[in-house]
Parts: sequence; C-alpha cells; structure tokens
Amino acid sequence: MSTETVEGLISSSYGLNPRQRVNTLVRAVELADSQGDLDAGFEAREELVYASYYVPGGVELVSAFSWLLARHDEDPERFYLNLWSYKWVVHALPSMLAVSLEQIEEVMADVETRFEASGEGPAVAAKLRMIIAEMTGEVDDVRTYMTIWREALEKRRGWLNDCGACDESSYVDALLMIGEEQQALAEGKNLIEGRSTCSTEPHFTLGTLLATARRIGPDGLATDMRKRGYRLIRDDPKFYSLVAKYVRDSLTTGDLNRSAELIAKHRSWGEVPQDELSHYIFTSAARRTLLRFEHIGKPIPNGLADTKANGKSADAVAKDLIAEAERLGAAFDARNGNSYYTDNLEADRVFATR
Amino acid sequence: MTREQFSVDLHGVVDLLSNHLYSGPQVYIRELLQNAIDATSARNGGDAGTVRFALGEVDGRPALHVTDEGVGLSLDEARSFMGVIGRSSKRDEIGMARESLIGQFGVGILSCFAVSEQVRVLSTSAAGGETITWTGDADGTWVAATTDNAHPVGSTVTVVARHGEERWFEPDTIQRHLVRYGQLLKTPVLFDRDDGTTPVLITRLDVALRSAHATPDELLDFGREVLDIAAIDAFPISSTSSQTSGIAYVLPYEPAPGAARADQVYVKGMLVDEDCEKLLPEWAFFVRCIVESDGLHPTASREELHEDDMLEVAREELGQSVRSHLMNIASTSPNRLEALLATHHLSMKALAVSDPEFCALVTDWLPVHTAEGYMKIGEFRSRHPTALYTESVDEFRQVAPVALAQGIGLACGGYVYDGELLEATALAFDDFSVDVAKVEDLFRGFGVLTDAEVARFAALIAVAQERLELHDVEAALRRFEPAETPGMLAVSNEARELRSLQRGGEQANNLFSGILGAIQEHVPQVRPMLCLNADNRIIARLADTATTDPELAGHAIDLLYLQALMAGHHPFQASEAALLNLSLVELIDRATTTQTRQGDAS
Repeated sequence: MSTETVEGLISSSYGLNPRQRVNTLVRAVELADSQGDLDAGFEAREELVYASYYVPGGVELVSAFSWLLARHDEDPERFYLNLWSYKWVVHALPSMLAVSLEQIEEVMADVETRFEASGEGPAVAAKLRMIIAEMTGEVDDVRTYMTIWREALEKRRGWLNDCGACDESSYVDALLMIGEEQQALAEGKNLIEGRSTCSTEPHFTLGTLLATARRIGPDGLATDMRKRGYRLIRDDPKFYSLVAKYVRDSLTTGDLNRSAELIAKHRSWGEVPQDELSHYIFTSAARRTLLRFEHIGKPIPNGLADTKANGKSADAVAKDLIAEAERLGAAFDARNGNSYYTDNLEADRVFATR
Repeated sequence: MTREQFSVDLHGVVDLLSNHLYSGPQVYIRELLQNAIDATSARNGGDAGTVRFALGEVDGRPALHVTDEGVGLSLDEARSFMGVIGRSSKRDEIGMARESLIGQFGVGILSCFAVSEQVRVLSTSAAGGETITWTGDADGTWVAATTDNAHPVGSTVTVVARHGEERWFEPDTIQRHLVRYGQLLKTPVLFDRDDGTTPVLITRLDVALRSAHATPDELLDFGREVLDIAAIDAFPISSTSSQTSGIAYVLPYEPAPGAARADQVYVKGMLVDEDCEKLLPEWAFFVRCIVESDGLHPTASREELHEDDMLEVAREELGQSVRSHLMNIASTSPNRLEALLATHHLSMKALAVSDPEFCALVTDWLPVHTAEGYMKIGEFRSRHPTALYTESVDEFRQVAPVALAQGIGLACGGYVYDGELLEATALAFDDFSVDVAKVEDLFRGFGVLTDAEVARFAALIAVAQERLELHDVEAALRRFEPAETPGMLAVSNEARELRSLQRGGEQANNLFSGILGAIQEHVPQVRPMLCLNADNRIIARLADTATTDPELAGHAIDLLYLQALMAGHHPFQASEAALLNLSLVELIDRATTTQTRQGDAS
C-alpha cells in the first residue's frame, strides 16, 4: 500500500513546475477522497485551484473549484471559500467550447449573488461580464460593461478587485476590442514603460498592444515592446495565445520566416492541454502566415515538420493548423451565436492574400 | 500673494531616513564613508588620498572623526550645500560627472542625526581660501564660519554620540560596518580604534576579485572570507555593457528551488546589496557571486539595485558568463563538470532545457530515472537509441517493470525538467529519439493471443469484464514479460482526468454538475485498463476456473485488480477497500471449505 500522505504530496508539490505540481495535487485529491477525508480534500483542492491557474487548460480548475463550492454551500462555517478563485473559473469557462452561453450566464448570476452577499461592489462582476463579452465576440457588450466597470471602480475599489496592473491591462484589452486604439496606447503607457507591474504584467500588454504600437506608436516603440515582451513569455506555455501576437507582428513587418519559426517553435504548446480559445488564437495567427506562404508561392519551411519518426511533413502540418483555426473559429461562432471569429479569419485571409 | 516655504521637521526627516529608507542607524557609517570617498574622488579622481576614521571623545562623549584629503569646502559651499536638504552633491559644481561618484543625493549627512545631536565639519577647500567650520544640530539649525584652526585641504567630520546611542560608536561595530561597506574601495581607508592599537586598514588592496591571474585557491579563499561559503568551484564572470565583473561561487549544497538568491554587489567599490536577488538569471541558482560595477544603478537608499534596463543587460551577460564557463569545463574538464553536476543537476537541467547548445554539451552527464534505475542520459541513450518516457511518475511506476522485462528503454519524465530534457536531448542528437509512452498504447502493444488462446481464455475474459465494469475499468488479456506479473493496471492521464471530472460532477452543485458533464463529453473517453498476463501461471489456471467456478474466478479478478491498484500506488476508494475485505474473506472461506472437505473425505 502507498505510504504517501495528502500533506506530503501537497508539500512535495511546491518545488515542481506548474504542470507537475497540478499532477501531484490531483493525486493528493484522489488520496484524500479515497480516505474520505473532506478537510484534506478541501485543502488539496484549494492548492489545486491555485496551481491550475498557472497551467493552460482549465479543466482541473473548474473541476476542483466546483467541489469546493459544493462543500462550502453544505457547511460554510467549516469550509471557507475564497471567492477570488471564482473569478478564474469565470475567465476559464468561455474558452471551453463545451460550455454553453446559458451555463456561463448562470455562473455569472451565481457570481453576482455571492459577490454582493460578501459586501463586494458591482465593479468586479461588471469586469467579468466585460471579459466574457470580449471572449464571446460581443463588441457592444464590451463597451457597455467597460463603462459600468470603470464607473463602479471609481466609486469603490473592493477586496476582490484585480491588482492595478491587471485592471489597466484589462482596460487596454477592452479599448482595443471596441477600436479605441489611440486611447488604448495611452492607457497602456504605464504598463509598457514598466511603472505598473505584477506577475502577469507587462507580459500581456506588451503583446496585446504590439500591433497598435506598430501602427500608430512612436518610432521604435513596437520593436522595443516586441523584444521585451517575447522574452517574458517565450518559455511558459501558459502564454500560448500571446505567442500569436508575435507571429502576427512578424508577418506584419514582412519577416515571413521569423513568423514561421515562431509557429514551429511554439506549436508543440498546443499539444499540452490548452483551452480551445487559446488554441484558436494561436492557430488563427499561424493560418494568416501560412496562407501568405501559399499566396506568394513560397514553400512552407521544413522547420514546421514533425520531428518525430514518421511525423507529418511541413505542408501537412500547415494544412492541419489552417483547418484547426477554421474549425475552432466556426465552432466558437456557433456557440456564441455571432460571426466574430469567422469575420476575423476572413480579415486574416484578405491580409494574407492582398 | 506671498509664496510660503515648507517647514521641514528635521527629526521627522531623520526618522524617515533611518527607519524607512535605510536599513538602520549603522548607515551613518556608510554615509560618512561615502561622502569622504566622494570628496577624495572629486579632488584626485580617486587615485590619491587616504580616508581616516578615528574614534575619540568630545566633551566626554564618544565621537567619530572622519578625515579625508578631498576637495574640501569653502564657506559659501558649506552654506549652500550643507544647509539645504536634498541639494545635489557639491562635486557637480566643480565639474565631476555625477556618474563618477558614488553618492548623488546630498542627504547622507542627515543620517548622522540618527545617532548624534550634533555634526561638526572642519574643512579647507582645494580651491584655496580660509579653513571653515560648519556645525549642524539635530533641531535643524546650523552655523557656518571661518576659523583660525588649521586644517589641511580636505575635511574632518565629527559625529558625537547621542545619549543612548553609544553602541553605534563601539570600535568593533564601526570596524565591522566599515569592512562590510568599504572593503573593496580603491581609496585606502584606515580606522583608528582609539584603543592603543595600530590603525586598521579597512580596504583590501590586494583583491583576488580584480586579479586576472588569481589562482582558483585564491578565489575560493576570497569567497570563504567574504561570502562565508566553502564553494566547490569559483570562476570569473563579467558583463561588459554594465561594466560589471566579479566571481561566481558554486554552492556546496543544492538550494531549494525558488530559494532567494543572495549575491553581493558593490558599486564603485561600495557595498550596495549583500542579498541581491536580481543579479543573475533564475536558472543560475547554483552559484552565489560577488561583483563590483561601475555601471549599475543603486536605488535612493543605496541598499539595492534599481531594476532598470542596465540591470537586465547585466543579468543576461552575467548569465552568459556562467553558461560559457560551464560549456568550457564540459569540453576541457569533464571531471570538474561531473563534480558540479553531482550537487547541482537540477539547475543544469533547467539550463539545458532552454539552451540547445548547452544541452548538447552536458546532457550526457545528467541523471534520469529509468526502468533500469538511475542512469546518466549518455548511458541511457547509448543503450536505447529509441526510447520512451512517461509524463508522470504514476505512469512510470505502472509500466517500468514491464519495460524492464521487455528491454524497452523507458525513463520517467514526471520529475522536474526530465521530460523536457529528454526531448531536448533528442533534438540535440540525430542518433537518439524519444517519444511519450502512453501507458495504454504500451499495453496494447503486448503480445496478442492466437484465436485458440482467445477461445481458451474466453470465459475468464467474460468474468473479468463483468467484474471490472463495476469499477469502470476495461479488461484485456495479453502476453507480456515478466511472466510472474499476473496483471497490470494502466491509468493514463486522460483516464485520470475523466475520472476526476466524473467524481467532480457527482459531488458538485447542479450548476457545475451540468458544466462538468458538458466538459466530460468533450474530453477523450479513456478508461483505465487491467491487462491480464496470459503467460502467468495463475491466469492460466484461472482460465479453467472461470469455466468451472465463475464466482471463484470473479473473486480472484477482484483481488488481481486491487493488487494492480496497489502496485501502481493508486489510492483505494472506499468501495475498493470494502471489496478487498469481501474478496479476501470469500477466498479464505473457499480455501478452508475445500480443506475441510478434503479432510472429511480422507
């Protein structure tokens, strides 16, 4: 019989990389469950929820959090629920094709009830709705909830609010989504210049504002952002979707080979469990570059081929990536009831074949 | 309307400096040293002049006198620069570039008021003119005047101990902090302890740190003295862009991953940070270093480095230095590398994973856990040019015995960096390839049975499928080594994830139960598989039992499943623990009943 303990597994998980940490904590959860130890199960899942935040995907996060929520509802005195992690769950759900808009809405209603009961103002929930609108391609809703969020935030900053840097970054994202590029660049200045930082910033903003900086930013800004931004994310699969920004930027600046290199280097990140939206974002950027290769009649670089024995050729890999982007784009639009992602794919095709 | 000036409460400012900006009152020693060095540099470019610290008494109170041979002050300069808080260094006025000086903030003298009621300055300017005195009090008042007292060009600052602060004037305390802050200064610094002994030379004029010809032993001795570590190796590092150079010491122990770094940084010879966490890349956690720099920028407190572009460049270049050293010893002194790897293989793995060139050089010396035991990758890949690795320790435990028996090269990729390292190694060498071992694929690849054998085992398979269905486990029959193993359980990560979702769905509220159910339908529908071994004698016998006594065969299957769970270190669910009890009791009952019947018959 195994001599492992739940405590021992939790302790040993701290030195591991994020994916291995999650795997170890899943084991701790199984062990606690097999012993019928609810308290140990709660502790192990709390750790699992935190650890899951640092790996791509989201299945473990949602599964573990839902268990915590149920135990908390059964016995709130015994099981204290940290509502902060509920925000991560809301972030994760729209990225999963399996989850319907109705289910996301039901979760948001639950979030709003619980946040309000905990004394939290409306800002956090409005921000979450804004993010859901961004992920589901509802531009008008982004504008609406962005306004509600900013106004509520000015009145009151609650304990569930994200850090200042994350809020600035989210504001920039929303402004970009509604087409306010100039303002987005101005609002992102503190983040770009390193005056506002946190564990995930300026990682995100250097990527999300890159195309805007390239178009309307001062000389040298985009190049500097690209250099610093890519360095921050290049080794962490959690930033899979952000790589897309650099794939796109390389194509925009005419460096087709660099764009293909980035695709080849990072496409293996798609093989680890990733959420489907991140996978769409990466493959759609790859598609744009690969369509360009096709359009100008340049062969797809061999670097894109599978390195494993009997692996696919570069052409076959390119074909798969293009098909995957189109499949995911269509599936998200079907789920969301709009044409946001397929419109973007069409815009990419126009760019690549002009 | 008249413009008013802020009234500044000097006590408040001093409190702010000593309790919030600086790490403690001892900083007054550093600030006095700093000012003296600045003055000396301003006059001589730092090439000449000695700074003297001397303990003594003033009006029966302990006092510290600091004398420099620097640029000195005229009466106007004293009034202008010593009486205005925050004014830039006087040396700017005489043409010294700010960057060539250590201190730049003009508030250092205030730190003396943390330990003293009064600071006195006696000074003669290098530009000529009379000797002057400047006396500042902790209440914020000061007076400056010319004096007939003679003083050579330069200044003497006298700080008299306040009642209750005498401990900051103890000779050992002052000497300790002078050494700490100033031992690497190029300007000689002497300290007279006022105890009849010869003044102590604080600065180390013969510093191994700066010698291109220092022997490894000299470098190690220096590290032992300054960092208090018995390093197992030492080597020079440098960053040209940030004008930073120093020595890296290989730690004699493996620090915990994520443990804070503690590098020592001197800027222009003066200690800035002795626990610097930002100087080297994260992967270099196996070394501690001492560096001195002319290009890095301290923060206002001068107790840590400013996180700016220059520091980022320094970090990259110093990291490159460490990497170059490792690559150099990998090709010239493999024994030295091996000694280092014996202690720091984790750090080396981290570096190898992100650096293909480095990986090609060192990977063969790095150990991994294989089905044949711990082995260096070099040996592993020469034994198994085509190998497999599992993504988790659990999977490895399940299949290692089988891989060993069948001569399959299998490594465990579930430990920190190992999976990525094996992939990186495969990219580095054309004659080695690895793939992820999917447990279920490995089992499916086992020897397939002939039609006749399938027919013979049909009853057993039917029993097994029926019993295992209760646990949502698939049954299979194959032929595999070792023959002593009756059955093995394959639980892939996908199967584990699916089980976790199923369990989660059962125990979640209605809202999330639906969501988990929907997600469940989207993930691969993979079940754990119990693979029975047709070559095992118990399984062979059970084939017959399943026909004659299916119930007994069923209990045996239950126990084989439970045994496989234990062998794979899978925790028992409550139902499985109950099953163990039930099956054991049933089997004991059957065995004893049979014996009794045999006894009765005889």
